[in-house]
Amino acid sequence: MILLELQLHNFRQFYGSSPAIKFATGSNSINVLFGSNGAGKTAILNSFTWAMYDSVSKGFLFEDQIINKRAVREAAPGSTLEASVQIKFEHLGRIHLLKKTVQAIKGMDAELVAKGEPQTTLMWADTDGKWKSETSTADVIGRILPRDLHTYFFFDGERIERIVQPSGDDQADIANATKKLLGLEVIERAVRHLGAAKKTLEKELEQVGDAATKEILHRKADIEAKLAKTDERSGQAERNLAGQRERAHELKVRLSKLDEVRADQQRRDQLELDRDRATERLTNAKQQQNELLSSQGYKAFLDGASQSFLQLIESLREKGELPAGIKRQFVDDLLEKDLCICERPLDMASAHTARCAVESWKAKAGLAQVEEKAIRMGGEVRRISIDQDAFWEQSDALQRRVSTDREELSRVQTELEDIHIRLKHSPQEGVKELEAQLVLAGEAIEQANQDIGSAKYERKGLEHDLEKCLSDLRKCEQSEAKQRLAKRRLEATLDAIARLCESRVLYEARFRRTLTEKVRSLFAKISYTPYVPEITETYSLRLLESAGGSALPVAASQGENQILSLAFIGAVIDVARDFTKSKEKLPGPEVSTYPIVMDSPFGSLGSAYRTQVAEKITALADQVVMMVTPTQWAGEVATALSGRVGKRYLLEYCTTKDDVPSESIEIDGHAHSLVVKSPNEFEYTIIREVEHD
Amino acid sequence: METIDPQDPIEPLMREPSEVRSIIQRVLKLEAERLFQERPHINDDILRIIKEAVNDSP
Repeated sequence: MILLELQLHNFRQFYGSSPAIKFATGSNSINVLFGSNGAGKTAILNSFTWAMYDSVSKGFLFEDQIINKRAVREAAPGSTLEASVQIKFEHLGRIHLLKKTVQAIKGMDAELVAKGEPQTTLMWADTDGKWKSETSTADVIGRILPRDLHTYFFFDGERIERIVQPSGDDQADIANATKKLLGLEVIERAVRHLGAAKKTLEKELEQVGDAATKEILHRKADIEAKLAKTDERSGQAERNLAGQRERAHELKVRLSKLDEVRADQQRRDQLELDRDRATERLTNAKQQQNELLSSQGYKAFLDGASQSFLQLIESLREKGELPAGIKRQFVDDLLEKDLCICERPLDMASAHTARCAVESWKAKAGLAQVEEKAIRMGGEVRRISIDQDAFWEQSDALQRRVSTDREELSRVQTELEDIHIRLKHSPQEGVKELEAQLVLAGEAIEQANQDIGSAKYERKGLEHDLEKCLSDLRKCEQSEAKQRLAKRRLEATLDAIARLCESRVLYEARFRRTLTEKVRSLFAKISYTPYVPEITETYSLRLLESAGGSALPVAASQGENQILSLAFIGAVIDVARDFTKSKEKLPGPEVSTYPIVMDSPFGSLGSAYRTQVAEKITALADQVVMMVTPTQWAGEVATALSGRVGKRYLLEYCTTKDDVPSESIEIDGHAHSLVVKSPNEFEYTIIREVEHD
Repeated sequence: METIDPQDPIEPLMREPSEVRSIIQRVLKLEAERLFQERPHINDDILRIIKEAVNDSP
């Protein structure tokens, strides 16, 4: 940032529109504003900070005294007054114009009755020379020179020692500002904001949930184990069945070998064969019945709909609408040819009546598509009616087969039961015994069949559970992928935070070391005391004195503290500038040129110190604006800086006092009064440029 | 052969893996752009950077 112009209007001591103060840039970039005490040197400093940062130096009574008193008194009651500060500056090759204005209305009793909120506008000149306005003034100014840093670039030399002796809040501000200028603020913010991101990522990880893969895998293994047991049980039942069937067969063979019951047993074998056949037939018939019902059962319900459709078609036919009898296309062709089928002409001119008669047939001519559909559907509906009769016939036939088979089964069953009772009550113990064993084998066969059925049913349920389990597992795998990603993100964030913290520690150590070296070097060049400056971890400054091998803090004088503060400012600017040029550059403010605006820069320093401060500090800044009293300037300072001064202005104070004190400054052999008699009853300051060589 | 200075503040920021390095560089650049704002409302953008740097693609 390079300052180009400052223009004040009714601002504090400066009545009306003061001439613009044009600042020198380039090689002779020191600008000096001479003024006596009370002429407005601090007001000039505050005009910069008020316009740019809405901030004024401590002790600068401001709120109700912005507008020049003479302007207030001269204004008519009820009229609107205005005070403004306009700063023109260049940043990165672009010219900016910042203007801050405050308005007030004068009351009847010579006081201001209302004061509006200050308005700030910022414009910049485009390459085509047109001015464009910025909407977010504070943001743009903040980008050019961060607010926290302004106390380093716009400072009151008489209060500069507070950089060394800051209050708690000031100390934090200075630490923050230093870190910001050196780029460390960027790392601090990155750590803080990554910490916030970390919390969000942790929440997201919770939402993804703990993938229950283990539980599902456990469930799957459980189901698979149950399936294996079921299969084993089923296998056992199959073996039992086969064994018991074999046993039953053996018993039957033995029974058939006994003369007394051979006939019964042979009959029973035959009946069992009949029973099996009848059962098979019955099963077959039932299956056919099921198939018939599922494929043609609907036909039983179509009777009403079929009848309605056929009646509708019949009614259309009776009305002569179906079939059309005559096609629309045929009538159209006759009209097109202007000739009827009976060879009568149909032209519009000579046979109008005949043509109208033929045209009337068009209305009667049905649509070809409707007719076609009606014919096709009519055929199908009639076939449904025929099919319906066939369906009932088939159904009845199957029902009869089922009844016959049931009767046959019942008969066989009764006869088998009779044989069983005969054998069971046989007078021969051997027969009885064999029959009893046969019953037991039959029961065992029944039990084995039940076991097989139950195992089959159980297997079906388990297979369903297993399918569900596998589906859950697939979902879980997707969820696990999300979880893995969330974890990776969290870990990367934690790693980034850890590395930034590690880097910050190294940076801070390096900066503090470099800054300490620079401050020490500058301080040593200016001060003749043996004290050594030290920068603490919180970037506050103190002077140490070597005593008996150990360094102890020194109770420094105001002058020493001022030198220390100036050395600190100079060192911060120098280190920051070096740092922005170095390859290790961290992203940070794009500041590469710095102005320093100093009010009474030499504070309460003695003459020897003034020379050193003037030479060493001004050499560090790219541009210097200093407001000085003749006493602060005279002698060593003037000699030290004279070769580098580009512009000089006088703050000429007009006083109402009769005995005007003689205060003047000699520039290039010319004396300039800094206090003059006011031509009216007001006190104010006039800005004049010193133009001679 | 170039030696790595363990005291170099840049070294922790340049270490592998590349996804962490990418997060650090992009977050620092973003923070620098918003440095002039007191409360930059930056969290969503930082989350986006992390998610873009660490994603499913190999």
